[in-house]
Amino acid sequence: MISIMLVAASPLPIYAATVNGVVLDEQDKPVADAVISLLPQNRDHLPSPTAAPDATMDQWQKQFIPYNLPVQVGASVSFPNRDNLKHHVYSFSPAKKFEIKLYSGSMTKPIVFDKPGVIALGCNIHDWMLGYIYVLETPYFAKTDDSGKLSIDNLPDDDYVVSVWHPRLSGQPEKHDQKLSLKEQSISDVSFTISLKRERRRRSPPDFEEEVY
Amino acid sequence: MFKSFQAKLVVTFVTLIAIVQLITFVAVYNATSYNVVTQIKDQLLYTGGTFNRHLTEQAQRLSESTRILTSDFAFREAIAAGDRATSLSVIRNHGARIKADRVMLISLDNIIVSDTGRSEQANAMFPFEQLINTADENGFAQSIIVLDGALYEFVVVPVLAPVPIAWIGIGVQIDDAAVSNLKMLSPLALDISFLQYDRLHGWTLLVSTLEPTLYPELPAITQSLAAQTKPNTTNANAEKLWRKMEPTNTRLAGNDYVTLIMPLVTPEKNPPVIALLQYPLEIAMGSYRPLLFWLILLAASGLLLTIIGGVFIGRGVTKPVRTLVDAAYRIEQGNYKQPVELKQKDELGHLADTFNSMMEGISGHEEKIRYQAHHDALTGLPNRLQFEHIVQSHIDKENNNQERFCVILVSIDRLQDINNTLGHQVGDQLIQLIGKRLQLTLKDTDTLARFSNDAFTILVAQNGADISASITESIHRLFEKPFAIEDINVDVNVKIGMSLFPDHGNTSNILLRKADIAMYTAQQEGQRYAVYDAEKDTYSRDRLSLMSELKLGLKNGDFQLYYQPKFDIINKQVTHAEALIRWIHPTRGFMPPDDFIPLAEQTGHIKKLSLWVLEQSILQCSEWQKSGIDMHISVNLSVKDLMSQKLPAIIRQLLIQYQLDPECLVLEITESSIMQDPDVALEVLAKLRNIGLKISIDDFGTGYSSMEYLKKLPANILKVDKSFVMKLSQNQDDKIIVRSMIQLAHSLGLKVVAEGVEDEESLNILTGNGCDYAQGYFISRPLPIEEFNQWLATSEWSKLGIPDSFVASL
Repeated sequence: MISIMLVAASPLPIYAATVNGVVLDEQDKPVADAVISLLPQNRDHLPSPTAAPDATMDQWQKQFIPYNLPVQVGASVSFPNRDNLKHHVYSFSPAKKFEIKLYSGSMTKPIVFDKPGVIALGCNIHDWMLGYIYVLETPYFAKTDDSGKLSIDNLPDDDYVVSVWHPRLSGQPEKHDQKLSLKEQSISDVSFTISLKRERRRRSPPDFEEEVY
Repeated sequence: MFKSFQAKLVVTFVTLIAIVQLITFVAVYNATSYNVVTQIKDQLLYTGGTFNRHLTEQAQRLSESTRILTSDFAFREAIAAGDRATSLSVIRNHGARIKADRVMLISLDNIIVSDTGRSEQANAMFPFEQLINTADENGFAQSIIVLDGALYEFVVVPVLAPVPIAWIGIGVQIDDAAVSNLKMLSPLALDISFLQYDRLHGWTLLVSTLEPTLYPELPAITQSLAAQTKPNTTNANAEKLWRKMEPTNTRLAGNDYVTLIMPLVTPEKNPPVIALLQYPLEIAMGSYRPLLFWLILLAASGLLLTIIGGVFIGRGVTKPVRTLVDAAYRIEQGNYKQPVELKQKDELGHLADTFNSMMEGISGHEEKIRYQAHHDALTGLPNRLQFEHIVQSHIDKENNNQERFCVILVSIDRLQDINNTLGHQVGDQLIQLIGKRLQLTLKDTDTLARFSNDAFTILVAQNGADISASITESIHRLFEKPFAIEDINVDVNVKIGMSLFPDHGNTSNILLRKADIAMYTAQQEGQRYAVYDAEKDTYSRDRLSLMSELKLGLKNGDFQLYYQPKFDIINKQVTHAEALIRWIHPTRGFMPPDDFIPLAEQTGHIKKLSLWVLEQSILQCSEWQKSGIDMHISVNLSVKDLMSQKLPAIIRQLLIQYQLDPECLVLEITESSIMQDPDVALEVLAKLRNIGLKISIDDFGTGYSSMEYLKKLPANILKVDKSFVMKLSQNQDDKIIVRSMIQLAHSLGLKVVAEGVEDEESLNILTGNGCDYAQGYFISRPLPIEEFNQWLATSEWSKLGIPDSFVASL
């Protein structure tokens, strides 16, 4: 995974603080697809939802790409069907319940995710397909790469609550929250050790005879 | 206990067979029962396995159905919609589709959101958290649970949208109908019961196919069996545990059941649930009832046959044995003639044959013994016993016909001498030859027997005394020729005695005895044969008893001396008397000497008599002498006395004892008695003479004396036998003889006494001839002492020389 550099689009001052994060599991193995987010205590530092950048959740090779899509609340996410077959994407998550039937190659209107929360995406046609959209209040977040690392910069000075989330995080995410104070151009390191639930389902398309579980 | 051999045999037989059959029956019964029970146990295990699999499959099907259910988008949408009413209706609807009895919607917080089994919507905790966890882990969970007292096959499955948003729990109740269905699964008519354990109540029954009446017993049974198990296991363990289960026998309402306890998979830490599989033994054994029945029937009939067979065999054995026993009994009784009838070819038949030959042997021996008992070994002739029988049988026969026969006794002279001279072997051969020769004279009707060592007897049938002489002659002729034995010629003389039937007796005993007497008479008289003459028979039973009476008589003083005076012709006085013994028998009365003296002489009793006479005579004579009467006494001596060397000493002793002058004693001895053994007689007489007493020769003229001996005899007196004197007056010959005798005697220096003077004329003749003394009835008969003394005192004959004092003393 590539670290995503956040670009401030508003006439806000250039913030220089950087946070480097690493997420490990209990065996000290790096955890990929984990999202570290920093929630500023100063509400002013939160942009409006309309300023949220768009995102895309592809369906490619009968899988959701990315597996974990963190977006800012208010982001508009499109779901392009890049496969040559139909997908029936749905979510029953309380944050957003929707379903869209996507024919091959089609793309419907993007959906605005206006409530923060975890949205689990499934495909009714393909039971194994699983994706997550993690809607966050704060724009200050990043996802770990394969080495379990990420970096968030241009952070304004503030006191932050640093949270971590992973789709398979076991237990309450809040218990991992850390407090962090950022001052000008400081580079902070945060690390999380989380325990993950077992990966019980396959996420890739099965061979013809195989079961999902 | 059992006396008869047959009974013993049968009982032993039957007992043995009965034991064998009993053992067989018991063994078969036990084996069968064991077999049956083992089979049932195996079946039970098998069925239990089937049952187990069935439950598992049922659960799997249920979970599959449920998963399909929960995959349904509309279902998921409805559940995700969240409102209770909708979710309840949805689960009810979809639950019905898959024939579930109970459906629950469980939130991710383990709260039962909707429940088809409850009308109120209370938010209860799902009681089986473990199932949720398992479902979370494995994608599904299945278990047997008890919910509200009902037994369920329960499945928990996540509602994936796409991640678990809720749990669905679906249960199929195991009720009576379900259990009955289960029961149908098994080829055996198994009874299935489900019980649950809780600490408070122990084992409680949930559902059962058994009769409700049996329900109360089940908890207790389970209690005892549950010790084997560890319920509350996971699926994997249950399988393993299940394999270890052993069917056991339990009793339910008095019947035997083979029972298998099956632990069921229930949520951990939940009260265990078990299934009890039971099969009544009764039914299983039922199919074997006929077998057992037949077995008993066979055993009983076998036993019966054995008893019958045993009886027959027993009889087959004991019957011949009894025949043999009877034969043995007969032998004991002495019946050797009746053979044993036993036609078997086996050991018993062999025994019977042995018996028969034994009997023949004994019979043969008996014959032989009988023959030997009746026949003389040496000659082969009938022996004395047999002869007596033959005689007797002739008597019995002749009684009807009145035929006569005679019994002849042939006695061989001096056989003992021949044996001594030539040896017994020669003697025996001689006897044999004699026997053979005698047989030549026999007719068919005659019988020859060896009567004794030296005598043969012949029974000549149809005979009378008239031809007796000719028979005896012919017998004597046989002995004219000597007998040739080895190189010796032996001359044999015989004496023959004969008795006649019915003349001389009517029993064989008497006839034989009389023949013997006749033979003895012949011997005595020097004849070659004699026919029995009753007059000459000095033998009689009477006489035999007489001898013992004699002894008694002597003791009792039945004997008396009578005195007969001898008239001194020359001096015309009586100075001698002869002492004569008289017997006053208590029963027979007066017995003259002739009746007992000869017999006494033969038996030797004469000695006692003589001694008595001597003593009495000497005593009496000494009395006379003491009284002043010069009497001399004469005493008769027998031949036996004469032969006694002790006699002189005895007489001397007596003379001394009674103080009698020996001269006063005269001993009268017959001529013939001297001639019996003249040499010995002379010796004794000489001794007697030496004492000083006088000897008188009696019965002179009647013996076989020779002049030579007469010369030697130390005699003083000669007594002329009365046979010459009694008819003296009439008989001319007697006169001449008597005169000669007197002359002879005088010429030898002997005095003469004439005995038997019966008349005056005889006396005169005697006087004329110079006879010295006369004795006889003419003078006096023998008188007892008192009368004699009286006679002596008063008689004419004795007037002379009797002192008056004597007369006065009478």
